[in-house]
Amino acid sequence: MATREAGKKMIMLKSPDGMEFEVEEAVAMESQTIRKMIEDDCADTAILIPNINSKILSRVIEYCNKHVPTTGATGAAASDTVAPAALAEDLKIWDAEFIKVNRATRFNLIQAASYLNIKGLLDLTSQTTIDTISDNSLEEIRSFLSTKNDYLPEEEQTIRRENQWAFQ
Amino acid sequence: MAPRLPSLTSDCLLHVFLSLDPVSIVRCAAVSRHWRRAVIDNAAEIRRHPGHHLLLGIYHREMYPRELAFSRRSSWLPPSAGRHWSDSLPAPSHVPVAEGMTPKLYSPLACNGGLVLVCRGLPSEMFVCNPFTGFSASIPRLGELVTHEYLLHSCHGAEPNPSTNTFQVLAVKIEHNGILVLQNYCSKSGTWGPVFRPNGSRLRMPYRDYRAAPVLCRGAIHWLCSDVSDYDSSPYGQSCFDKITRIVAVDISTGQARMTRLPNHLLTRNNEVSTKKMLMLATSSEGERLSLLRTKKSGLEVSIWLYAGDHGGEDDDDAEKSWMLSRSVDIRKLIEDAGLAYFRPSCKDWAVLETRLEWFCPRSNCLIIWVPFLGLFVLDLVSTEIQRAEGDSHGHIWPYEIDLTLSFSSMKPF
Repeated sequence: MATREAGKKMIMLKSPDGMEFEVEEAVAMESQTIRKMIEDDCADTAILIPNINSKILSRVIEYCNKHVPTTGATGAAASDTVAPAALAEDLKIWDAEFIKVNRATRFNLIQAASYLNIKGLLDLTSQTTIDTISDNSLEEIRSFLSTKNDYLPEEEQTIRRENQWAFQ
Repeated sequence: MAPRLPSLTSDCLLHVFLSLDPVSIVRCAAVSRHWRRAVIDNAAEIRRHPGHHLLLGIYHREMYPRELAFSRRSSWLPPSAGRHWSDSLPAPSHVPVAEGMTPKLYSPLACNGGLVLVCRGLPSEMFVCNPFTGFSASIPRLGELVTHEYLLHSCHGAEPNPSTNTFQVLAVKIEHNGILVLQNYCSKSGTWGPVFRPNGSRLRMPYRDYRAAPVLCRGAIHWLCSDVSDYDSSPYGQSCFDKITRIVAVDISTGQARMTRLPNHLLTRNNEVSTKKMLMLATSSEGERLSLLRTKKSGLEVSIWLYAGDHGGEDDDDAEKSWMLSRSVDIRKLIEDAGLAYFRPSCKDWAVLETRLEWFCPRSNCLIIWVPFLGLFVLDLVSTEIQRAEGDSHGHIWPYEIDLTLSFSSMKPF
């Protein structure tokens, strides 16, 4: 990652597989978890992000870079005024492109967004899962999520009987 | 076989659950042990889940031959865009305790949280049932308070520790001198409490036929009422209490009553407010604050006022400042825009019509209104979607809302 111009405070993020990412503080603070660490002064050296590998972390940073508010802190970029509606439309298209990933990556992104507490990314990555569950039968949900049915047959029967109206 | 995906943590699943409809959440609880645990662990959070369509329909009683009927949401006009999850639920049109009896003798008295209070014939036998689950419990009748007005409340227990199928029934009677008489039944103890008259020396209830339902907010039951001091002392004045000037909040557990004055601008000089159902109590969309619905002079506009005062404070003289206008809804425009302006043959024109506020449904935040010559309408106060409900027997309806989220908290862990 290229270092931006001097004067901006940079933060070092470290993935468990040893990669280091230098990002602007404003970008890192898109994550409420990191924001809290910075505000509590626990972030003088590199911040280790557990459980998120470098591949996923780089995508998360890519998302934060795009979504960091262009006002105030980034100064120059904000001054060339773009209509907010056009900007929002642009972001939507970018988001749609961003989320075209395989299921494993998406699940990892959900996990990362949840841990790092990035609301926008969490909503974006969860939406496909929500859409799938909303309109499908139990078997279809299981197969889509590749979740193993670990119930005994009699247990599953009890569960279905408990709220029968939901499985008709 | 698809490669094994990383499993989502309970926190991530909760985020997904909160965007789903109730039926899908129940399905999710059957996906796997891990998913079921995620539903059960987060049941309290999911229980607070907003449910705009928890109003499944309206129970109504046919005057002849006194049959219990159910008008389900999916039969209303115009059909809400697309299919909705509640359309697939069986219509709870029967009472499951029939035991060889035909259901035609049953009539509903109150609904709340998926439970229905019904009586058989004259109120000689009463029970509370859940038409979905088949739960049924009979209630012993006391001869002390003879009334047809009941309020089903505190269903399924309080928020942190919900307990399925517990409920309380409040018998409500307005005596001829305007005094409010109450008696409460608790399913836990299985007995009726003592008869009591909250603030009997001051509190007067308007107009004996006034049907506007009481509203439960912050642990107290609220009614529109008046104070004896609102009437002059002439002997004739004392026999007819028809004004609405105050709200009384009655705490059933202690019998304490607290009255607050309504702002003058929401009142009228004469008794039209009560005879024409122009004023009604409601709660805010998150259920935390008391609100007031009031039809405007023209009769086809409803304004929504939110109580911004201190719910626990003393009787404030600053009633004018305690109520804030939240917004106004133009009923005529909504009905016309939805293409529902079908007048009955004997119809008059808009100019003479007015809206009567019939019921407020706290879980779904829906308002049920009656417009003469046009019919019964259900207005979603959050989205301002309006539907025309079937059935014209507006005087005998009971909106049926379910407490589906209870299904989540009563799940057995596996």
